[in-house]
Amino acid sequence: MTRAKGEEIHLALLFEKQLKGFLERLGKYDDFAAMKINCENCNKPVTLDNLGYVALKGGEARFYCDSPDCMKEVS
Amino acid sequence: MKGLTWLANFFKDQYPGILTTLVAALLITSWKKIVFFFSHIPQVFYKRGMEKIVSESTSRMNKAIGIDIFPKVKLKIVTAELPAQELEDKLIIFVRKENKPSVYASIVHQALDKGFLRDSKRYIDPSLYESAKYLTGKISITGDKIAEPLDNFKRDAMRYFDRKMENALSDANTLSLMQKEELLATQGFFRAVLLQELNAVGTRMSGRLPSDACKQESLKFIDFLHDLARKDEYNQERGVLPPTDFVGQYFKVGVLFIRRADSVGLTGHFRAVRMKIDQQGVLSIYVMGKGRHTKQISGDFVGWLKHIAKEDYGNDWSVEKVIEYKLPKAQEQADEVISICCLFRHRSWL
Repeated sequence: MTRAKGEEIHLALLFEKQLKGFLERLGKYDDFAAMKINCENCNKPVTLDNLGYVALKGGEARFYCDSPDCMKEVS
Repeated sequence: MKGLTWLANFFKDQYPGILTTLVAALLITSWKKIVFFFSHIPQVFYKRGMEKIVSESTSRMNKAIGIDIFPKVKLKIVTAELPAQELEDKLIIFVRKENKPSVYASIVHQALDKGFLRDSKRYIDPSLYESAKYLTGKISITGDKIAEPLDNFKRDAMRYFDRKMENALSDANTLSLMQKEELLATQGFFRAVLLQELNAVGTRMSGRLPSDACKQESLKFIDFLHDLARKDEYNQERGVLPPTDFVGQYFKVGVLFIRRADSVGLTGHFRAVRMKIDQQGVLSIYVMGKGRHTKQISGDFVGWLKHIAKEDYGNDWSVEKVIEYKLPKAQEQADEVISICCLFRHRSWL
């Protein structure tokens, strides 16, 4: 989410194939599978069908759904 | 010569060994990258393809405006092995099967959100900022072809981008500014002038507190350009041509069009430049032309501006940039028209 060197924007792509491993590493897979993870903005449960973005802040993962309002909030 | 022959013979005799050593060295130093590549081939190609699409659209946009309005976008593939600290503060976009347009729209949206007119945002009207941001994203995605039918990829990407800009598209003030800016975009150089000046005001005002006066003036400035872009209608409504100079507290811009230079020569235009500087008090002058005038401006006119900057104005003025680009097809019925915009600016004004 940072703008490095004043010229570059760094973004990361999380593919469906890597999602399970990524969530397991964060210790969030079981919660995700049980739909216990909610969108940071609208508080709706985040699932495979509506996951939009993930942001890591201070080692803590924040999940956002793909609704336009929530995508705006993550900016 | 003897040494070279010896070297050539040495490589000829020893090349299998040298080659093997090089390959071994490459494998040892880059084995992680090689393993990653082979275990993530589809993702690597997806990432590279996406970087190419984004890079092409952003560099086209930057070239047309004459400044790096779009930051460079670097993408990284998230894997379970990637250390968490490498992802700290990075936005991670979830990629679903076959949702390339959505990912592309997300990248454009995020890049604009983080990097678009970053230093100017606080000094210009918020609706104008949103409008300029939306139009920049839209033109990047559609590739300037505002009036043409889009292919499926661009149409879907635009649909996703519109969803992300839902708030701006629902605001009446922003919508009205978008309409004005779309007209500037179809005229090519006017939108370049707008973005150049919005970018410059951020640089000039750096360290100063944002003010409502500056934000208000940014709105008057787009009105000034809008009047120029619809000068025939303006003339019909008011019986006069729109002013070609805008001198406020934060924007001091003069615009000069080169037309019919073949028949009347450039003398009148030279006089107009001096008037703008000496009498009107502008500090940025945009000299514009298209078609056959392009060479005349990039040659004779730029040469003359450089000459007067040195001889008459003690190098206080300089030709900051000459932007050449094509007017979009939507504006011209036939082929694209090569256009030019030369920016002559006072050194104190950036």
